[in-house]
Amino acid sequence: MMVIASAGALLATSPPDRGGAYQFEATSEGQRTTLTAAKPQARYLVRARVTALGPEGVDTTSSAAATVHGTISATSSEGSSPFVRARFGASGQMSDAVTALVSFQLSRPLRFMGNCVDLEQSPACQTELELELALEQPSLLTAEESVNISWSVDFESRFFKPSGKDGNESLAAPWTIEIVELTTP
Amino acid sequence: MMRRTLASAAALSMVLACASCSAPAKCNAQPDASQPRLVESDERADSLLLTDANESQVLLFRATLSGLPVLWPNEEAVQGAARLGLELRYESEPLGGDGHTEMPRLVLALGTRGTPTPTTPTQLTTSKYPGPEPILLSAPVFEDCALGSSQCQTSFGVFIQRVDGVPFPPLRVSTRVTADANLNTCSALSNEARVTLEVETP
Repeated sequence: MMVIASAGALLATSPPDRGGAYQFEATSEGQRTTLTAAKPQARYLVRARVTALGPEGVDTTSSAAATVHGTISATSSEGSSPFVRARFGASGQMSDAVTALVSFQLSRPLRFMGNCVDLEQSPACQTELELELALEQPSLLTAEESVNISWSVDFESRFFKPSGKDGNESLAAPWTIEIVELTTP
Repeated sequence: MMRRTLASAAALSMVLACASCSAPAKCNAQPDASQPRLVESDERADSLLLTDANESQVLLFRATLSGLPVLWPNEEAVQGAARLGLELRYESEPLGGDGHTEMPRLVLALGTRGTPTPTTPTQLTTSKYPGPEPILLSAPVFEDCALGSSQCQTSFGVFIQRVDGVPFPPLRVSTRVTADANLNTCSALSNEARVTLEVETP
């Protein structure tokens, strides 16, 4: 019985042999973070909440991923400026991270929780991830100097068309994006 | 009588053994003997520090393939390559070269030079987030080795230029260069073959 159930589940999530996919995309508003020797790190909670199903009633959270893009500029008067570490995940957890001086890009798959089938029912269908931006060597900055980071988060997901129609279609994801700065404990 | 027969048999077996020692016969009789054989030079390692945008360095080498058999089966009997392996590190933390640390890009080129036919260099630009594996580049050498030559020589150069300057710190570039040749000749005939690699001064 379990084998049959597993096979059924696999068939339900497998892409059809033919046909295109719906590609859902969303982008957060641009953010600006200023790090200094006195405030060498900032943490953010990025939340995406689903507000509607896609065309043909498809789930818009399938194969979802988030990518943060950032550019860095320093007001440092000397040639050397501190590296910025961008990391997904809470401190102490296994996480992805990059260490950058000019620009960075960091991706992570998203797992949505809640009632993603009937969106009228609670709990809400949403995903959260934590982003940390921190200076690697804050001591390289004087009290007057700072590092500015302009960043945004791109989201994408895809679902194969149940109708089997050909062609990929890019659509705005029916999600609301919220970014909240977390206070350092 | 018995002793004479035994002596004759021993002499005959020695003659037969000697005949089977001849290289062409061995290659004809044993398919494995004609398998391609790779001959590699020693590695030439170097290290340089690139600090500013557009700062560059040229490394020159001469690869020599010697000890080739005179009997070449065809013009494609020798296929050689010069190989460059590169590692990038900062002088202090974060050291980089881990796939997660941003580093200045480099333009790399590897190509033969001089006569008769300098090849178009093989080029690449390194990633902004180079990984821990060495960055590899190769280019063909010994392409103008004449049919039947016992020795061939190719001069080649490695060009390394830093693209991005400040705010990136000075970058330590470690290079390892080798040359090799794949010999599609009878291995019994090419036992003496070797590749040597020398550093040339500009």
